[in-house]
Amino acid sequence: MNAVAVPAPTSRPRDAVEVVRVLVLLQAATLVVSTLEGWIALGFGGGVAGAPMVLLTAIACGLTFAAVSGIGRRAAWARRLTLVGAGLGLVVAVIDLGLSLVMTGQGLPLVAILTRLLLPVAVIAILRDATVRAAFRVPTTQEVAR
Amino acid sequence: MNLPLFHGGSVTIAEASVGSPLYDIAPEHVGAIVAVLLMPVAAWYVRLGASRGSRRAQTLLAGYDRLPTADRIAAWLIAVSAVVHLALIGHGPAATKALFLADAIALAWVARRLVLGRPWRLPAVVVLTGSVAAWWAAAIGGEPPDQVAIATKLVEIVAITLAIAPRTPGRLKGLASTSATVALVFVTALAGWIGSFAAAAEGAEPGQGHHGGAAVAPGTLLTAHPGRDATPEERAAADQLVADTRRAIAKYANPAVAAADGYDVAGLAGLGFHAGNPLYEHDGRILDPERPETLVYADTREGPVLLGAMFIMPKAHLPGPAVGGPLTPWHAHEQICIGLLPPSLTGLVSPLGGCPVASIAVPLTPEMIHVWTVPGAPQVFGDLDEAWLKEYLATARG
Repeated sequence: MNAVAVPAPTSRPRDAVEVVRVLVLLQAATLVVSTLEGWIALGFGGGVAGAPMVLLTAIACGLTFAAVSGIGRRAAWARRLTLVGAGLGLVVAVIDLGLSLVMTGQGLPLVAILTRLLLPVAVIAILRDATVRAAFRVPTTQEVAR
Repeated sequence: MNLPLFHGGSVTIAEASVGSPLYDIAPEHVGAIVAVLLMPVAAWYVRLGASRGSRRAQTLLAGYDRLPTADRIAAWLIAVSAVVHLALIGHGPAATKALFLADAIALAWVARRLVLGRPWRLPAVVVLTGSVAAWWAAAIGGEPPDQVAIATKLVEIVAITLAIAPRTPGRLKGLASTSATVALVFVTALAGWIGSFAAAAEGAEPGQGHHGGAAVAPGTLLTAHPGRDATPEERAAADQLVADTRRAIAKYANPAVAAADGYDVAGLAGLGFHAGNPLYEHDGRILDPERPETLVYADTREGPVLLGAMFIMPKAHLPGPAVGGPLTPWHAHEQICIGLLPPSLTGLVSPLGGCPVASIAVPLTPEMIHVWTVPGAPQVFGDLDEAWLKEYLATARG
């Protein structure tokens, strides 16, 4: 493999990776809200039975913030983590969409379509793009040595 | 539509129901969605104009083509917000129309600066933040938020985040930018909740709860009121339902008896504990006082107090029989989050569209109606006044 020198970045490129970072940051912020909403719901009839879901949401929130940070540094693990998270979220959203269509004959509310369907689809599509994938390339040992 | 009752006869059922504006699109906002969907046509028109030699279109197109990806996205998002505000200037009072128009012009000006390569970040942050904050004020002031409003605010927040993204690496800069985005999203969700519940509380009489406000509270779906008084026959039927229910469930004052008949009283706690009976939920009987699907208890220091029963229809979309006409309003719940680990209520679908992790969003529940049998209850159907209940439990129960 030909090793190519990677200069230390002096400015953040305004590329598609930056767009993904912002979109994943929005997801992280919505998870902060979900965690608080779930915690409040525990006191309004949800009971302790809902505690595992709130805990999982808090963990997902922490992982998403870690992914935001990793994407900013073009870390390969952050790309993989984001793909897994967006994929899982998309699966649940599709289940909810199916439930909504079966039970009400209507799709999801507009905001849910944006935040739970279009946003993860956009994140996955950008992260799977060949150019973006190359930006997350793990440096060769020679690059690391330099 | 008529529905047969288990004990013979039939009753008229409600045909329509009303939910919270939070999960809906206000009719006057539909035009904004259409306008946004037409934006690609406008973009195509600019390209067409450029190909036909329009200097202005060529300048815009050349500027846009020079932009990096993130700035192109920012330009589109700001333009979306401008178009939404422009599409809304036909509605509301004159002051609101003027504000929407000013916002649309300012946003279009910022988008144009961005495309033409002029400094745009600071103007964008000022205009977009002003737009978001103005909506916060309106929502917290009691204007019920809808899906178009919240979606537009999220679009603006993404545009702000792109504008404030640090241009050079730096931990502090990154932290400040991230914190700003989280704060904007958090306050937007909070304003959504406050606006929805404030609109529901506006004009409600004490004790009416989610049945009495100018708008329906989030998560609740009310059957449409027939807009008339109850007939003597309906009053008699409603009284009969209460009397039959009171007599039939008296034995369940002892939760152990209820448990023996299949009610899930485990974990009884709080002022409105609902003990369901899965055996009665799909037994083919509707509004049977002998077999209510749920009992409602309050847990007190002196022990559990039976407050009444809740009848549930066997499936969603099946309207409950309005035996007492306007006296017996059924309700359902919409957009609730059900956790899967274990199955439990984890809240309402957020204004931001989500539920906690490992939860699914249930769009609609079967219809249900409470019958309060506790002595002296100010309401026998609908919501029980919580202030009255606390006073009752403190005095009548010693």
